[in-house]
Amino acid sequence: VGGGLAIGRSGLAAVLLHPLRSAATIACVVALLVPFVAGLAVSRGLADQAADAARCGADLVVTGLRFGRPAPMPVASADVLRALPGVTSVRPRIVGAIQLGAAREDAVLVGLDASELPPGVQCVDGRLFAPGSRNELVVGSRLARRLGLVPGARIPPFYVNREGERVSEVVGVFRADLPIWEANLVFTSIETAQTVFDERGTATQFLVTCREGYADAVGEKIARLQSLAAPGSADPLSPRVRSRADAESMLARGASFAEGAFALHFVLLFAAAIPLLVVTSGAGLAERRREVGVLKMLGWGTDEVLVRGFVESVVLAVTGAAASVLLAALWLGPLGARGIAAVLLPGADADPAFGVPWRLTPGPVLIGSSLALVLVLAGTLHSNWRAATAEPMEAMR
Amino acid sequence: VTDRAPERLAAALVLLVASAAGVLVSGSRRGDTETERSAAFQHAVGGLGSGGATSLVPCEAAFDDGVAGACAREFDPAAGGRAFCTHHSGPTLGR
Repeated sequence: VGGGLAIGRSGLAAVLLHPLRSAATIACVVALLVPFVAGLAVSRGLADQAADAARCGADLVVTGLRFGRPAPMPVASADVLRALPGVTSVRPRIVGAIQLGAAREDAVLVGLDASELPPGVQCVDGRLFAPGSRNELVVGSRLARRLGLVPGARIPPFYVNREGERVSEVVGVFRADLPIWEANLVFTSIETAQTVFDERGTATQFLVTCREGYADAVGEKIARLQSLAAPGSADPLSPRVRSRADAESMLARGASFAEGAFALHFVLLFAAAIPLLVVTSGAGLAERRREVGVLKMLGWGTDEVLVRGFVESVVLAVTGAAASVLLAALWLGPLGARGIAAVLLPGADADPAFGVPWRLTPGPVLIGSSLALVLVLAGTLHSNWRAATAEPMEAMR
Repeated sequence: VTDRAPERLAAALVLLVASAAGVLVSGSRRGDTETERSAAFQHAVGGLGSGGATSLVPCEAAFDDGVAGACAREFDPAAGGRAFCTHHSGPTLGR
Protein backbone atom coordinates (compact mmCIF):
# COMPACT_ATOMS: atom_id res chain seq x y z
CA VAL A 1 0.00 0.00 0.00
CA GLY A 2 2.84 2.30 0.95
CA GLY A 3 4.49 1.70 -2.42
CA GLY A 4 1.24 2.43 -4.24
CA LEU A 5 0.77 5.66 -2.30
CA ALA A 6 4.32 6.69 -3.08
CA ILE A 7 3.72 6.10 -6.78
CA GLY A 8 0.45 8.07 -6.55
CA ARG A 9 2.26 10.90 -4.75
CA SER A 10 4.89 10.86 -7.48
CA GLY A 11 2.09 11.10 -10.09
CA LEU A 12 0.79 14.22 -8.31
CA ALA A 13 4.30 15.64 -8.26
CA ALA A 14 4.58 14.96 -12.00
CA VAL A 15 1.62 17.31 -12.57
CA LEU A 16 3.46 20.06 -10.72
CA LEU A 17 6.82 19.34 -12.34
CA HIS A 18 5.50 20.51 -15.71
CA PRO A 19 3.01 23.28 -14.88
CA LEU A 20 2.79 24.64 -18.42
CA ARG A 21 2.09 21.23 -19.94
CA SER A 22 -0.46 20.43 -17.21
CA ALA A 23 -2.20 23.78 -17.65
CA ALA A 24 -2.35 23.34 -21.45
CA THR A 25 -3.83 19.85 -21.08
CA ILE A 26 -6.45 21.02 -18.55
CA ALA A 27 -7.30 23.99 -20.78
CA CYS A 28 -7.88 21.63 -23.74
CA VAL A 29 -10.20 19.45 -21.63
CA VAL A 30 -12.09 22.49 -20.31
CA ALA A 31 -12.46 24.00 -23.80
CA LEU A 32 -14.07 20.76 -25.00
CA LEU A 33 -16.17 19.90 -21.97
CA VAL A 34 -17.70 23.26 -21.04
CA PRO A 35 -19.82 23.64 -24.21
CA PHE A 36 -20.74 19.95 -24.03
CA VAL A 37 -21.94 20.11 -20.42
CA ALA A 38 -23.59 23.51 -20.95
CA GLY A 39 -25.37 22.37 -24.10
CA LEU A 40 -26.84 19.27 -22.51
CA ALA A 41 -27.82 21.29 -19.41
CA VAL A 42 -29.73 23.75 -21.61
CA SER A 43 -31.36 20.82 -23.42
CA ARG A 44 -32.62 19.39 -20.11
CA GLY A 45 -33.84 22.83 -19.00
CA LEU A 46 -35.70 23.29 -22.27
CA ALA A 47 -37.22 19.81 -21.98
CA ASP A 48 -38.52 20.70 -18.48
CA GLN A 49 -40.21 23.83 -19.81
CA ALA A 50 -41.70 21.98 -22.77
CA ALA A 51 -43.02 19.33 -20.39
CA ASP A 52 -44.74 22.12 -18.40
CA ALA A 53 -46.33 23.37 -21.63
CA ALA A 54 -47.71 19.92 -22.39
CA ARG A 55 -48.83 19.31 -18.80
CA CYS A 56 -50.54 22.68 -18.30
CA GLY A 57 -51.99 22.93 -21.79
CA ALA A 58 -55.24 21.56 -23.12
CA ASP A 59 -56.00 17.83 -23.41
CA LEU A 60 -56.30 18.23 -27.17
CA VAL A 61 -55.04 20.93 -29.56
CA VAL A 62 -57.07 20.99 -32.77
CA THR A 63 -55.87 22.77 -35.89
CA GLY A 64 -57.38 22.96 -39.36
CA LEU A 65 -55.47 21.83 -42.42
CA ARG A 66 -55.75 22.85 -46.05
CA PHE A 67 -53.24 21.50 -48.56
CA GLY A 68 -51.74 19.73 -45.55
CA ARG A 69 -50.81 23.09 -44.01
CA PRO A 70 -52.32 24.86 -40.99
CA ALA A 71 -55.26 27.08 -41.94
CA PRO A 72 -57.61 29.31 -39.90
CA MET A 73 -60.87 27.78 -38.69
CA PRO A 74 -64.19 29.51 -38.06
CA VAL A 75 -64.74 30.04 -34.35
CA ALA A 76 -68.29 28.77 -34.90
CA SER A 77 -66.85 25.29 -35.50
CA ALA A 78 -66.05 25.15 -31.80
CA ASP A 79 -69.73 24.40 -31.22
CA VAL A 80 -69.32 21.15 -33.18
CA LEU A 81 -66.54 20.13 -30.80
CA ARG A 82 -68.45 21.27 -27.70
CA ALA A 83 -71.30 18.94 -28.70
CA LEU A 84 -69.06 15.86 -28.53
CA PRO A 85 -69.59 13.71 -25.42
CA GLY A 86 -66.81 14.11 -22.88
CA VAL A 87 -65.80 17.64 -23.94
CA THR A 88 -65.90 20.14 -21.07
CA SER A 89 -64.57 23.25 -22.80
CA VAL A 90 -63.28 24.49 -26.14
CA ARG A 91 -61.16 27.67 -26.20
CA PRO A 92 -60.38 29.22 -29.58
CA ARG A 93 -56.80 30.55 -29.76
CA ILE A 94 -54.94 32.54 -32.36
CA VAL A 95 -51.18 32.08 -32.78
CA GLY A 96 -49.65 34.11 -35.57
CA ALA A 97 -46.52 35.96 -36.61
CA ILE A 98 -46.31 39.75 -36.64
CA GLN A 99 -43.52 42.30 -36.81
CA LEU A 100 -43.15 45.29 -34.52
CA GLY A 101 -41.07 48.45 -34.41
CA ALA A 102 -38.83 50.19 -36.90
CA ALA A 103 -36.44 47.22 -36.87
CA ARG A 104 -39.41 44.91 -37.66
CA GLU A 105 -38.82 42.63 -34.71
CA ASP A 106 -40.41 39.21 -35.17
CA ALA A 107 -43.10 38.59 -32.58
CA VAL A 108 -45.64 35.86 -31.84
CA LEU A 109 -49.15 37.18 -31.34
CA VAL A 110 -51.30 34.92 -29.15
CA GLY A 111 -54.97 35.72 -28.71
CA LEU A 112 -57.21 34.06 -26.13
CA ASP A 113 -60.61 34.77 -24.65
CA ALA A 114 -59.94 37.23 -21.80
CA SER A 115 -62.82 35.90 -19.71
CA GLU A 116 -61.15 32.48 -19.44
CA LEU A 117 -57.80 33.69 -18.12
CA PRO A 118 -56.85 32.24 -14.73
CA PRO A 119 -57.25 34.72 -11.84
CA GLY A 120 -54.26 36.19 -9.99
CA VAL A 121 -51.60 35.63 -12.63
CA GLN A 122 -48.25 36.56 -11.05
CA CYS A 123 -45.93 36.16 -14.04
CA VAL A 124 -46.49 39.65 -15.43
CA ASP A 125 -45.16 43.06 -14.44
CA GLY A 126 -48.33 45.12 -14.78
CA ARG A 127 -51.51 43.18 -15.54
CA LEU A 128 -53.12 40.96 -18.15
CA PHE A 129 -55.58 42.42 -20.69
CA ALA A 130 -59.09 42.96 -19.35
CA PRO A 131 -62.23 41.24 -20.68
CA GLY A 132 -63.97 43.46 -23.22
CA SER A 133 -60.91 45.65 -23.72
CA ARG A 134 -59.50 46.38 -27.15
CA ASN A 135 -55.84 46.61 -28.14
CA GLU A 136 -54.46 45.89 -24.69
CA LEU A 137 -51.23 43.93 -25.04
CA VAL A 138 -48.92 41.99 -22.74
CA VAL A 139 -45.47 41.77 -24.32
CA GLY A 140 -42.50 39.45 -23.82
CA SER A 141 -39.34 40.48 -22.00
CA ARG A 142 -37.04 40.48 -25.06
CA LEU A 143 -39.51 42.42 -27.13
CA ALA A 144 -39.98 44.93 -24.31
CA ARG A 145 -36.23 45.44 -24.02
CA ARG A 146 -35.67 45.76 -27.77
CA LEU A 147 -38.54 48.20 -28.25
CA GLY A 148 -38.27 50.02 -24.92
CA LEU A 149 -41.78 49.01 -23.86
CA VAL A 150 -43.04 49.26 -20.29
CA PRO A 151 -46.55 48.93 -18.83
CA GLY A 152 -48.49 52.00 -19.93
CA ALA A 153 -46.55 52.46 -23.19
CA ARG A 154 -48.54 53.05 -26.35
CA ILE A 155 -47.75 51.47 -29.70
CA PRO A 156 -48.84 53.24 -32.90
CA PRO A 157 -50.88 51.11 -35.35
CA PHE A 158 -48.65 48.29 -36.60
CA TYR A 159 -51.26 46.44 -38.66
CA VAL A 160 -53.69 47.07 -41.48
CA ASN A 161 -57.39 46.46 -40.96
CA ARG A 162 -60.35 47.09 -43.27
CA GLU A 163 -62.15 48.92 -40.47
CA GLY A 164 -59.20 51.09 -39.51
CA GLU A 165 -56.33 50.76 -37.08
CA ARG A 166 -55.95 51.73 -33.44
CA VAL A 167 -53.19 52.66 -31.05
CA SER A 168 -52.38 49.72 -28.78
CA GLU A 169 -51.49 49.92 -25.11
CA VAL A 170 -48.96 47.76 -23.30
CA VAL A 171 -50.61 46.77 -20.03
CA GLY A 172 -48.04 44.22 -18.90
CA VAL A 173 -44.60 42.76 -19.57
CA PHE A 174 -43.83 39.07 -19.02
CA ARG A 175 -41.07 38.44 -16.52
CA ALA A 176 -37.75 37.27 -17.96
CA ASP A 177 -37.59 34.15 -15.76
CA LEU A 178 -40.51 32.47 -17.49
CA PRO A 179 -40.25 29.80 -20.22
CA ILE A 180 -38.33 31.03 -23.26
CA TRP A 181 -41.45 31.24 -25.42
CA GLU A 182 -42.48 34.43 -23.61
CA ALA A 183 -39.48 36.31 -25.06
CA ASN A 184 -41.15 37.58 -28.24
CA LEU A 185 -44.75 37.07 -27.21
CA VAL A 186 -47.55 39.58 -27.67
CA PHE A 187 -50.44 38.25 -25.63
CA THR A 188 -53.87 39.76 -26.12
CA SER A 189 -57.58 39.04 -26.37
CA ILE A 190 -58.83 36.96 -29.27
CA GLU A 191 -60.85 39.92 -30.55
CA THR A 192 -57.73 42.10 -30.69
CA ALA A 193 -55.79 39.29 -32.39
CA GLN A 194 -58.53 39.00 -35.02
CA THR A 195 -58.36 42.75 -35.55
CA VAL A 196 -54.58 42.71 -35.93
CA PHE A 197 -54.74 39.96 -38.55
CA ASP A 198 -57.86 41.48 -40.16
CA GLU A 199 -59.71 38.21 -39.66
CA ARG A 200 -63.44 37.84 -39.04
CA GLY A 201 -64.51 35.16 -36.59
CA THR A 202 -61.59 32.79 -37.12
CA ALA A 203 -58.98 31.13 -34.91
CA THR A 204 -55.90 29.05 -35.62
CA GLN A 205 -56.41 26.48 -32.84
CA PHE A 206 -59.05 25.06 -30.55
CA LEU A 207 -57.86 24.10 -27.08
CA VAL A 208 -60.11 21.24 -26.02
CA THR A 209 -60.46 20.09 -22.42
CA CYS A 210 -62.15 16.75 -21.75
CA ARG A 211 -63.49 14.88 -18.80
CA GLU A 212 -60.98 12.48 -17.32
CA GLY A 213 -60.52 9.41 -19.49
CA TYR A 214 -62.32 10.87 -22.50
CA ALA A 215 -59.41 12.57 -24.28
CA ASP A 216 -58.50 9.64 -26.55
CA ALA A 217 -62.09 8.95 -27.59
CA VAL A 218 -62.80 12.63 -28.22
CA GLY A 219 -59.54 12.96 -30.17
CA GLU A 220 -60.54 10.04 -32.41
CA LYS A 221 -63.98 11.52 -33.00
CA ILE A 222 -62.53 14.91 -33.93
CA ALA A 223 -60.00 13.31 -36.27
CA ARG A 224 -62.86 11.49 -38.01
CA LEU A 225 -64.80 14.74 -38.64
CA GLN A 226 -64.88 15.41 -42.37
CA SER A 227 -64.37 19.15 -42.10
CA LEU A 228 -64.09 21.97 -39.58
CA ALA A 229 -65.22 24.53 -42.14
CA ALA A 230 -68.25 26.71 -41.46
CA PRO A 231 -71.60 24.98 -42.08
CA GLY A 232 -72.53 25.29 -45.73
CA SER A 233 -68.97 25.97 -46.82
CA ALA A 234 -67.74 23.86 -49.72
CA ASP A 235 -64.09 24.44 -48.81
CA PRO A 236 -62.43 21.50 -47.08
CA LEU A 237 -60.77 22.01 -43.70
CA SER A 238 -59.39 18.78 -42.26
CA PRO A 239 -58.89 18.50 -38.51
CA ARG A 240 -55.49 17.71 -37.02
CA VAL A 241 -55.52 16.63 -33.39
CA ARG A 242 -52.55 16.61 -31.05
CA SER A 243 -53.20 15.11 -27.65
CA ARG A 244 -51.23 15.75 -24.49
CA ALA A 245 -49.87 12.20 -24.69
CA ASP A 246 -48.73 12.86 -28.28
CA ALA A 247 -47.00 16.04 -27.17
CA GLU A 248 -45.26 14.34 -24.25
CA SER A 249 -44.07 11.43 -26.37
CA MET A 250 -42.89 13.80 -29.10
CA LEU A 251 -40.99 15.83 -26.52
CA ALA A 252 -39.25 12.75 -25.14
CA ARG A 253 -38.30 11.56 -28.63
CA GLY A 254 -37.28 15.03 -29.76
CA ALA A 255 -35.15 15.70 -26.69
CA SER A 256 -33.34 12.35 -27.04
CA PHE A 257 -32.74 12.95 -30.74
CA ALA A 258 -31.50 16.50 -30.19
CA GLU A 259 -29.19 15.46 -27.37
CA GLY A 260 -27.94 12.51 -29.44
CA ALA A 261 -27.16 14.73 -32.43
CA PHE A 262 -25.57 17.30 -30.14
CA ALA A 263 -23.46 14.66 -28.37
CA LEU A 264 -22.43 13.12 -31.70
CA HIS A 265 -20.98 16.42 -32.85
CA PHE A 266 -18.99 16.56 -29.64
CA VAL A 267 -17.77 12.97 -29.96
CA LEU A 268 -16.35 13.97 -33.35
CA LEU A 269 -14.82 17.03 -31.73
CA PHE A 270 -13.32 14.90 -28.96
CA ALA A 271 -11.81 12.58 -31.56
CA ALA A 272 -10.31 15.55 -33.36
CA ALA A 273 -8.91 16.79 -30.04
CA ILE A 274 -6.85 13.67 -29.36
CA PRO A 275 -3.98 14.74 -31.67
CA LEU A 276 -4.10 18.16 -29.99
CA LEU A 277 -3.66 16.57 -26.59
CA VAL A 278 -0.90 14.33 -27.91
CA VAL A 279 0.93 17.47 -28.97
CA THR A 280 0.32 19.32 -25.69
CA SER A 281 1.18 16.38 -23.49
CA GLY A 282 4.08 15.32 -25.67
CA ALA A 283 5.54 18.83 -25.75
CA GLY A 284 7.87 17.92 -22.93
CA LEU A 285 8.69 14.43 -24.21
CA ALA A 286 12.47 14.87 -24.03
CA GLU A 287 12.11 16.09 -20.46
CA ARG A 288 9.78 13.20 -19.65
CA ARG A 289 12.25 10.69 -21.10
CA ARG A 290 15.04 12.03 -18.93
CA GLU A 291 12.77 11.96 -15.88
CA VAL A 292 11.74 8.36 -16.57
CA GLY A 293 15.36 7.44 -17.21
CA VAL A 294 16.31 8.73 -13.75
CA LEU A 295 13.40 6.81 -12.18
CA LYS A 296 14.42 3.60 -13.92
CA MET A 297 18.02 4.04 -12.83
CA LEU A 298 16.68 4.40 -9.27
CA GLY A 299 14.97 1.03 -9.65
CA TRP A 300 11.45 1.83 -10.90
CA GLY A 301 9.86 -0.80 -13.12
CA THR A 302 8.03 -0.08 -16.39
CA ASP A 303 4.65 -0.83 -14.77
CA GLU A 304 5.35 1.60 -11.93
CA VAL A 305 6.29 4.32 -14.39
CA LEU A 306 3.05 3.67 -16.29
CA VAL A 307 0.99 3.78 -13.07
CA ARG A 308 2.65 7.10 -12.24
CA GLY A 309 1.65 8.41 -15.69
CA PHE A 310 -1.89 7.07 -15.17
CA VAL A 311 -2.22 8.93 -11.86
CA GLU A 312 -0.97 12.09 -13.55
CA SER A 313 -3.57 11.66 -16.33
CA VAL A 314 -6.40 11.02 -13.86
CA VAL A 315 -5.48 14.16 -11.90
CA LEU A 316 -5.44 16.24 -15.10
CA ALA A 317 -8.73 14.77 -16.36
CA VAL A 318 -10.54 15.13 -13.01
CA THR A 319 -9.29 18.70 -12.64
CA GLY A 320 -10.46 19.52 -16.16
CA ALA A 321 -13.86 17.84 -15.67
CA ALA A 322 -14.53 19.48 -12.28
CA ALA A 323 -13.47 22.89 -13.57
CA SER A 324 -15.76 22.36 -16.58
CA VAL A 325 -18.79 21.74 -14.36
CA LEU A 326 -18.06 24.86 -12.33
CA LEU A 327 -17.46 27.00 -15.41
CA ALA A 328 -20.58 25.67 -17.19
CA ALA A 329 -22.71 26.48 -14.13
CA LEU A 330 -21.11 29.94 -13.92
CA TRP A 331 -21.70 30.57 -17.62
CA LEU A 332 -25.33 29.45 -17.60
CA GLY A 333 -26.23 30.90 -14.19
CA PRO A 334 -24.65 34.20 -13.13
CA LEU A 335 -23.41 35.04 -16.65
CA GLY A 336 -26.84 34.34 -18.19
CA ALA A 337 -25.52 32.09 -21.01
CA ARG A 338 -24.07 35.10 -22.82
CA GLY A 339 -22.54 34.00 -26.11
CA ILE A 340 -23.57 30.37 -25.96
CA ALA A 341 -27.36 31.02 -26.07
CA ALA A 342 -27.25 32.16 -29.68
CA VAL A 343 -25.37 28.98 -30.64
CA LEU A 344 -27.64 26.55 -28.82
CA LEU A 345 -30.93 28.36 -29.45
CA PRO A 346 -30.93 29.91 -32.93
CA GLY A 347 -32.70 33.25 -32.93
CA ALA A 348 -31.61 34.14 -29.40
CA ASP A 349 -29.36 37.17 -28.99
CA ALA A 350 -25.76 36.79 -27.86
CA ASP A 351 -26.92 38.47 -24.66
CA PRO A 352 -30.39 36.94 -24.33
CA ALA A 353 -33.02 39.12 -22.69
CA PHE A 354 -34.80 36.00 -21.40
CA GLY A 355 -33.68 33.44 -18.86
CA VAL A 356 -32.02 30.54 -20.65
CA PRO A 357 -33.28 27.35 -18.96
CA TRP A 358 -30.70 24.85 -17.75
CA ARG A 359 -30.44 21.86 -15.48
CA LEU A 360 -27.22 20.02 -14.82
CA THR A 361 -27.61 16.26 -14.63
CA PRO A 362 -25.03 13.70 -13.57
CA GLY A 363 -25.27 11.66 -16.80
CA PRO A 364 -23.67 14.14 -19.22
CA VAL A 365 -21.11 15.13 -16.58
CA LEU A 366 -20.07 11.49 -16.07
CA ILE A 367 -19.91 10.90 -19.82
CA GLY A 368 -17.90 14.09 -20.25
CA SER A 369 -15.53 13.17 -17.42
CA SER A 370 -14.99 9.69 -18.89
CA LEU A 371 -14.29 11.21 -22.29
CA ALA A 372 -11.87 13.64 -20.66
CA LEU A 373 -9.99 10.75 -19.04
CA VAL A 374 -9.86 8.84 -22.33
CA LEU A 375 -8.60 11.98 -24.07
CA VAL A 376 -5.87 12.69 -21.55
CA LEU A 377 -4.83 9.02 -21.38
CA ALA A 378 -4.70 8.89 -25.17
CA GLY A 379 -2.45 11.92 -25.07
CA THR A 380 -0.12 10.89 -22.25
CA LEU A 381 0.03 7.09 -22.18
CA HIS A 382 1.81 6.78 -25.51
CA SER A 383 4.58 9.20 -24.55
CA ASN A 384 4.86 7.54 -21.12
CA TRP A 385 5.07 4.11 -22.73
CA ARG A 386 7.79 5.23 -25.14
CA ALA A 387 9.78 6.77 -22.31
CA ALA A 388 9.21 3.82 -19.96
CA THR A 389 10.26 1.15 -22.44
CA ALA A 390 13.47 2.88 -23.50
CA GLU A 391 16.78 1.81 -21.94
CA PRO A 392 17.66 4.11 -19.00
CA MET A 393 20.88 5.25 -20.68
CA GLU A 394 18.99 5.90 -23.91
CA ALA A 395 16.27 7.78 -22.02
CA MET A 396 18.81 9.88 -20.15
CA ARG A 397 20.55 10.95 -23.36
CA VAL B 1 8.19 21.12 -6.16
CA THR B 2 8.35 21.33 -2.38
CA ASP B 3 7.99 18.35 -0.04
CA ARG B 4 4.30 18.98 0.73
CA ALA B 5 3.27 20.21 -2.74
CA PRO B 6 1.68 16.88 -3.84
CA GLU B 7 -0.42 16.78 -0.66
CA ARG B 8 -1.51 20.37 -1.23
CA LEU B 9 -2.42 19.52 -4.81
CA ALA B 10 -4.43 16.50 -3.62
CA ALA B 11 -6.28 18.71 -1.11
CA ALA B 12 -7.00 21.32 -3.77
CA LEU B 13 -8.23 18.60 -6.10
CA VAL B 14 -10.59 17.19 -3.44
CA LEU B 15 -11.91 20.71 -2.82
CA LEU B 16 -12.44 21.29 -6.54
CA VAL B 17 -14.25 17.97 -7.01
CA ALA B 18 -16.40 18.61 -3.91
CA SER B 19 -17.35 22.06 -5.26
CA ALA B 20 -18.24 20.57 -8.64
CA ALA B 21 -20.32 17.85 -6.96
CA GLY B 22 -22.12 20.50 -4.89
CA VAL B 23 -22.89 22.55 -7.99
CA LEU B 24 -24.04 19.41 -9.78
CA VAL B 25 -26.39 18.45 -6.95
CA SER B 26 -27.86 21.95 -6.61
CA GLY B 27 -28.01 22.44 -10.40
CA SER B 28 -29.80 19.15 -10.97
CA ARG B 29 -32.84 20.22 -8.92
CA ARG B 30 -35.49 22.44 -10.41
CA GLY B 31 -36.67 25.11 -7.98
CA ASP B 32 -40.30 25.15 -6.88
CA THR B 33 -40.57 28.86 -7.72
CA GLU B 34 -39.36 28.25 -11.25
CA THR B 35 -41.83 25.38 -11.71
CA GLU B 36 -44.71 27.46 -10.32
CA ARG B 37 -43.94 30.46 -12.56
CA SER B 38 -43.63 28.23 -15.57
CA ALA B 39 -46.96 26.57 -14.79
CA ALA B 40 -48.65 29.95 -14.20
CA PHE B 41 -47.43 31.19 -17.58
CA GLN B 42 -48.55 28.02 -19.34
CA HIS B 43 -51.99 28.10 -17.69
CA ALA B 44 -52.40 31.73 -18.83
CA VAL B 45 -51.47 31.13 -22.47
CA GLY B 46 -53.05 27.68 -22.75
CA GLY B 47 -49.82 25.70 -23.11
CA LEU B 48 -47.37 27.17 -25.56
CA GLY B 49 -43.96 26.10 -26.87
CA SER B 50 -42.13 22.87 -27.46
CA GLY B 51 -38.92 23.68 -29.32
CA GLY B 52 -35.88 25.90 -29.08
CA ALA B 53 -37.25 28.84 -31.10
CA THR B 54 -38.59 32.02 -29.54
CA SER B 55 -40.53 33.17 -32.60
CA LEU B 56 -42.43 31.64 -35.50
CA VAL B 57 -39.84 32.87 -38.02
CA PRO B 58 -38.30 31.02 -39.77
CA CYS B 59 -39.80 27.79 -38.40
CA GLU B 60 -43.19 27.55 -36.68
CA ALA B 61 -42.70 23.92 -35.71
CA ALA B 62 -39.52 24.82 -33.83
CA PHE B 63 -41.57 27.18 -31.68
CA ASP B 64 -44.52 24.89 -31.01
CA ASP B 65 -45.34 21.73 -32.87
CA GLY B 66 -49.02 22.32 -32.07
CA VAL B 67 -48.90 25.40 -34.32
CA ALA B 68 -47.36 23.57 -37.28
CA GLY B 69 -46.69 19.87 -37.51
CA ALA B 70 -43.70 20.09 -39.84
CA CYS B 71 -40.65 22.27 -40.35
CA ALA B 72 -41.52 25.34 -42.43
CA ARG B 73 -38.41 24.78 -44.52
CA GLU B 74 -39.61 21.32 -45.61
CA PHE B 75 -41.11 22.70 -48.83
CA ASP B 76 -39.75 26.23 -48.89
CA PRO B 77 -37.63 27.40 -50.64
CA ALA B 78 -37.17 23.86 -52.00
CA ALA B 79 -38.31 20.35 -51.15
CA GLY B 80 -36.02 18.93 -48.46
CA GLY B 81 -35.08 22.41 -47.29
CA ARG B 82 -35.40 21.16 -43.69
CA ALA B 83 -31.70 20.29 -43.86
CA PHE B 84 -31.00 24.03 -44.01
CA CYS B 85 -33.35 25.04 -41.20
CA THR B 86 -31.34 26.59 -38.40
CA HIS B 87 -33.60 24.79 -35.92
CA HIS B 88 -33.53 21.36 -37.51
CA SER B 89 -29.93 20.91 -38.54
CA GLY B 90 -26.55 20.98 -36.81
CA PRO B 91 -25.91 20.79 -33.09
CA THR B 92 -28.85 22.95 -32.02
CA LEU B 93 -31.23 21.84 -29.30
CA GLY B 94 -34.69 22.25 -30.82
CA ARG B 95 -36.28 19.37 -32.71
